[in-house]
Amino acid sequence: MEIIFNTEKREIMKKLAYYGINELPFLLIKSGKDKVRGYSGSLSLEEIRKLQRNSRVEIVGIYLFHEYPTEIRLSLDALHLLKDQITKNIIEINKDQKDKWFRGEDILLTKEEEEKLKSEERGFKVIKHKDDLIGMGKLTEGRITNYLPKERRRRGA
Amino acid sequence: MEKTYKFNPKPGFIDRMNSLLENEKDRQAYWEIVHKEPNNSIRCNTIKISPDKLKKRLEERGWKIKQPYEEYPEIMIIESDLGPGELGKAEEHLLGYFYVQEISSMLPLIALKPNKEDIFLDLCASPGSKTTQAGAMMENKGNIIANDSRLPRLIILASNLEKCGVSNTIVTQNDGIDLCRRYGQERIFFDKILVDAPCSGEGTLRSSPETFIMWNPKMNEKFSRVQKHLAENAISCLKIGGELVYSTCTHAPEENEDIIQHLLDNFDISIEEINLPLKTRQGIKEWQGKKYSEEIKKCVRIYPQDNDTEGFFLCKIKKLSDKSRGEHSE
Repeated sequence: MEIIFNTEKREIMKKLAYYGINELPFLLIKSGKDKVRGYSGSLSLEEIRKLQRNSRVEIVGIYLFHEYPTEIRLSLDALHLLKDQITKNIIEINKDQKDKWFRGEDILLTKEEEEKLKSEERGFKVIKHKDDLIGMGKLTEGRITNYLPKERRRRGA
Repeated sequence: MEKTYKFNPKPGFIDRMNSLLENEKDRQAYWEIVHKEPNNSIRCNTIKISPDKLKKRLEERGWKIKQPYEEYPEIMIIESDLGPGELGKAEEHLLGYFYVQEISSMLPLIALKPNKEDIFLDLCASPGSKTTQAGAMMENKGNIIANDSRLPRLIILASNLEKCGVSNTIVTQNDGIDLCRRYGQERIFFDKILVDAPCSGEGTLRSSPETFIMWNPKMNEKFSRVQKHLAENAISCLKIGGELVYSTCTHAPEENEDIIQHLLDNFDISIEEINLPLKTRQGIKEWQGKKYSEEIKKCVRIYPQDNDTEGFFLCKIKKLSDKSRGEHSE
């Protein structure tokens, strides 16, 4: 279990500021090369290590995000846990687009929509429909690539 | 004329259930309801959305929503007829705003009441219905150890924890008996423990009618042995004053009252009263010539015909000291 300590966490916080997030109340744990999990429970690191010595610990906390060199892609569930802090880099979509989104399709932007998003920085965006944060997409020329995990898509729709 | 069903109970099972039930009217009600599909019940995941908001959204879909218990608004029944898979495909489900869970399966956590300060062990946690319920009750604070012995079941557990946004949990893969032994030896103790033990599943006939075919009289004894070991080892890693809920989704006394009697005979524990928001029946006094202690009455039996749910058994235990019964009475 590789813990992310303060220096590295500060770098992460800088990247998370892109979404308006300035607080991450979790013990951060590396999971694989670029994935980061967060644990919000009350056990200290020493107590978790003691559990590890005495049982087969498979997972600690919840998958929060994928870290890229200059960006962070939040998980759907991290979006929900951090919803109140997320204020930036949000793209709102309409009902038709939302229906496609839940089928796992990318959103193809109309000329008008492209024009509206012209000033937006390219990269990862939080996708919102009405009050719901429904996943992360990557804004590129003419489309938003869908990163909704397969198991959260509507099957057979 | 007798009704015919796709799955029918075996004669041995009919005899056992008829012995457990009070009278002919009760038996008739039981044998009728076990052939009826269960209600669509859900639990609002309060980590992500409030019951009021969820109810409003689901009603906007045209679904008729009932909240049967005022003090537990998160428990909802969808009274409308739903198409196949409609519940699972709902966006609110994909987003983890609700968890599909049978009402009787919500009761162990209602009895145990884990809170933000607790260190809680869910010994047989997969698929995670009760772990996610605990996560919500504990507001993602305190700590949950969610254990299961088999990897495929653990994958489902992990996926449900993610979907519900439960972040205060450590998932372990261990044989439950070994895990408790090691924790007990290393003085790793818990405020609350849930032993939702693997069982013969006699209470789940409505959702899994194939249980009618799988059932055989040897199952009860086989499960009973494992359950005894699980429960007694779980007590060894419970704090003094800590509480443990033992539950099964079966009616068999060998898997229920027998286990509690075994714990009463061997550990310094008390059986606690449980207040649940639905009709319950007491633990039985006697089964096949074996008499149980008076305290066993405080165990809770849930029969499907009483509340239009599945069948269930639960018992809340408090650990009074580390002494065994023999030591305590000296």
